[in-house]
Amino acid sequence: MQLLEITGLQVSFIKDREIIHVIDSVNLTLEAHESCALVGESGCGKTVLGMAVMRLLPSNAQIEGSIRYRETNLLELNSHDMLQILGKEIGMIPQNSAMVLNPVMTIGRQITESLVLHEGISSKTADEKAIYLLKRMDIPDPHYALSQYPHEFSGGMRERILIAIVLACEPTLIIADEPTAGLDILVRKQTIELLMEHSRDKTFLLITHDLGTAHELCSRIVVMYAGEIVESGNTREVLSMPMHPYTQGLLTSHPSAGLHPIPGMSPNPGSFPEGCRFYTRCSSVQDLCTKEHPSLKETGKMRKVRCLRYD
Amino acid sequence: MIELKGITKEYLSGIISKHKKTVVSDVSFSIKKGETLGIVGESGCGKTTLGRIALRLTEPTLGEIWFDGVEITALSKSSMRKMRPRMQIIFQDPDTALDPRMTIRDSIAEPFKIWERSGRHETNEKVLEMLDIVGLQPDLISRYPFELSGGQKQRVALARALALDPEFIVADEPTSALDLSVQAQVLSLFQGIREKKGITLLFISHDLQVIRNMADCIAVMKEGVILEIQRTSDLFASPGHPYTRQLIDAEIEGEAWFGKGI
Ligand SMILES: Nc1ncnc2c1ncn2[C@@H]1O[C@H](COP(=O)(O)OP(=O)(O)OP(=O)(O)O)[C@@H](O)[C@H]1O
Ligand code: SF4
Ligand SMILES: [Mg+2]
Repeated sequence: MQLLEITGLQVSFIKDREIIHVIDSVNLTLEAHESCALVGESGCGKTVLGMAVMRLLPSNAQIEGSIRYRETNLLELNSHDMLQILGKEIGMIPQNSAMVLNPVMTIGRQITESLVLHEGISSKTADEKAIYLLKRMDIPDPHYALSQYPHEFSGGMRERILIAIVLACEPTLIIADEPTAGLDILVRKQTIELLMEHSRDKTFLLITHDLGTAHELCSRIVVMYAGEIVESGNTREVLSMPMHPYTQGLLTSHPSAGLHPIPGMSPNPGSFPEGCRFYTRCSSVQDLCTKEHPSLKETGKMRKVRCLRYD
Repeated sequence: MIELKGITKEYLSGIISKHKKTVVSDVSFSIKKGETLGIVGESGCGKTTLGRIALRLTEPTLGEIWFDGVEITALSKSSMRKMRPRMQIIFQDPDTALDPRMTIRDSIAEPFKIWERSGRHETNEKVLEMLDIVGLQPDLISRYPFELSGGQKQRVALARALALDPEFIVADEPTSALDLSVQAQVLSLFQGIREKKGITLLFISHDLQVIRNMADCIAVMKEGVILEIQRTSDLFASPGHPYTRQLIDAEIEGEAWFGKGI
């Protein structure tokens, strides 16, 4: 069953009377219980995509296309109906968790607040559920933790508290934006294991720079570059045999490959080159690449790539 | 080139009980000229404090710091100030190093001005030269930090740190805010400059793979204590402490997917 179906998604921002296209014709489908990773260069539009699904983009954003969740096109919902879905049906673990937790509110309040709001349970039951969740997230002394403030926890713990908050309402679809960024290897491992354990019966969209985490958590991977999808497929296949020159460059940039960077810089929205958007940095560039914009073509089972070399 | 002897840093917390918290405990190490020492450890283990102490930006509670044959912990404020241009720090978040109201030109020119190293005309040339060294287009010169990407900002911060030709640099998680390909760009740039100029480097990171690529020796730190220091290849071949073993195993496990068929 298809749980989420994004079709022809286009996001632009209006800034000083100028329209800047940030995301172009993105199609992405998530089957129920599927976990999918979204990777790509900083600024390519991953967070904007996640926020578009959550309808959390600022008011200068223009969204076209459709985002279908079950039977509903989320883009057509009014804000009241959308609030019913946020948190309860779709949960988001945002990038930079430290900024999301309220510094002057206890952890306990922050977890129970959404429970009381969405599930209409008493605050005592909510407390019990919060303790249970913190325990599952390996937070020491969860009873006491309820009365503590965010700054009293380490970065890794705060990340896990945030995950607990998101899981509290048992959403069907989880969108996690960089849940492991900046965590050291042991804490990262622990966080991945917790996410794995608790997202098993959920549908999961993981936005990340961390290819190792993507590999461990997600069966499918989608690679974005300059506002569009350039490659997608089975995670294992894509990471072991990347087809798009950008994906190949991403892998050779990895510290394990000895840090061999892709030359140059990714273009800014508003000044994407004509033709292939990667051509200024591509080592396989041909004449045609500067003129013709490649389309996303199917090359095998579940496998797609946007590059003229495979036409 | 640089040597730390028995460095300890304690903070007093609590107003009434005066609870003592030891952030760095009896740390000693030395770095030879032109070499890089990497410090790896979990967040909150005292890496940043130690890096700041090495430059005497934070005063240690106990211990000595020697720089190029001089004990800088014994220097007066004014003699310390004279030392400053010879040592620099690069932070994790380039935003903390760059003044948002200053153009890129002014940010890079500032150290020259403060240290009265050059006249106005020369400064402009110097700024362009620095931009070239860190691989930035000269047309970025009149932009403000908010108009740059994270990778570009970190390059500007690097240009600023390199402006006065320092001999010793502390880099505190310089690329952990950047994505993979930009990280690779900034680090390989860093490697090149370090080799060309013979800079001595203290490189702090929570990412063992990054450290492995950058450092001649690695110190493993946990809860304010250095557990072991070894040459990089030796550390990976025969870690001396169970915690190091744990780190390396987690790293290998996490990277198991990598390299299959590439
Ligand atoms: N409110 C906004 N107004 C104008 N432009 C915006 C706005 N929000 C985001 N952008 C732009 O949209 C583009 C995509 O940003 P986004 O945050 O989605 O990148 P990302 O892929 O998540 O990057 P990272 O990996 O660094 O998190 C960027 O060029 C960004 O500057
Ligand atoms: S279309 Fe051309 S420039 Fe673009 S990725 Fe393929 S080969 Fe490179
Ligand atoms: Mg993002």
